[in-house]
Amino acid sequence: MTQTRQMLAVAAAAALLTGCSTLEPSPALLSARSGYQALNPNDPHNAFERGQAEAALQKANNCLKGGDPATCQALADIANAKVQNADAVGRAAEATEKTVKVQDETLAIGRAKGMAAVQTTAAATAATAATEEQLAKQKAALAAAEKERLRALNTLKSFANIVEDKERGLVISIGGETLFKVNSAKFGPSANQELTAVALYLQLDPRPTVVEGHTDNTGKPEYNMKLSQERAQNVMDFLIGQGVSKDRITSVGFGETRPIADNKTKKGRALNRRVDVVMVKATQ
Amino acid sequence: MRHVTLSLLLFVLGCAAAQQAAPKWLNDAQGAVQAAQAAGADQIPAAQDALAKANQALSKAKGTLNPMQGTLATSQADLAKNLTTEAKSKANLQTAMDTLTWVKAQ
Repeated sequence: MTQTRQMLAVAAAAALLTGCSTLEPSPALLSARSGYQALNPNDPHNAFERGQAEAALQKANNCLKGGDPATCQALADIANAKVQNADAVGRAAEATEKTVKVQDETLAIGRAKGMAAVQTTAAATAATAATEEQLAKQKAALAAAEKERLRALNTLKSFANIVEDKERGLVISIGGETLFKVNSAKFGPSANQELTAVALYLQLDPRPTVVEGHTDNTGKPEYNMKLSQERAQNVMDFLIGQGVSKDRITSVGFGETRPIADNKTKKGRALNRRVDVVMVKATQ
Repeated sequence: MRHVTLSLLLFVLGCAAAQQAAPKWLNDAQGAVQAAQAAGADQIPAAQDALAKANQALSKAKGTLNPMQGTLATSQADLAKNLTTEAKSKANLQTAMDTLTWVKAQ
């Protein structure tokens, strides 16, 4: 009897703990998730706002694991607002672009018909004035987002080799010794700071991303393959933990199969021991 | 005695200054709400709900000094402003299309 009571008590405590440790997503969070999924990932007009929405959504999702309910609700509301905001910015830009096209067509037809320009353009001019102001604001917002992206890219250049590869896209190459302990997939002391900078950049550049692990040809090929896979996986997990969406990032280990320098020299081998974070080139 | 008086005076002045200076996040939230209002969000039905939520969160932020409410106010205000921009852009598009229809009919 006593044993039964003890078992019931343990089960009740476990149920209580389970209930406390993970919260159910609120309607606002569900709305934010579905709204984010519906956004066009290739729309250049709201890339910055999409990045903000993605980061906010990640925070709101993470909060469900043991966060305070009131805080989680506020984070869900923030994420939902940011997702809707990205959507609104995209729709506004689309309407503005259509307006410019329609106005161009109007003027072309008016000229072809030999209509008095004053009458034809009177209505169009009024609309153009407002449209130009909006276009200027959108251009300024795009320029500000690009400036922020370039600033983050410059930070990366202090410890990584950055190459715009015509075939692969933007490659952020970080030396293996910089990130990992020798002959291990565990992070070294400077990894946290450098990978945090990479994560920040990834949030400003929404392209799909592949984390590649590479080694030199020292040791057995099978071992090198496994080590490169583990290192790439650990880097990817860290970046996801920093708010990069797991839906846009993958990892792969190439072992010693893709050297970029001569493995016969010490310098060449050092260059080959690396992790490449590849921002995949968009296919047109 | 003079030192004690001077210290007390500095303490009171320091407290007064601390009470007057609003935190940056609260100023940012207030600025975002003002920008949404200036854009005309209160005149656009699609933006009114977001503006109301922004004002509500701003009031909470002022009352509780909770930065999370400040961020929420800023997010809702940005949304209200961009919904206003969207509505104006669509109105401009409609005007342009009406003009095109008129020109074609001439």
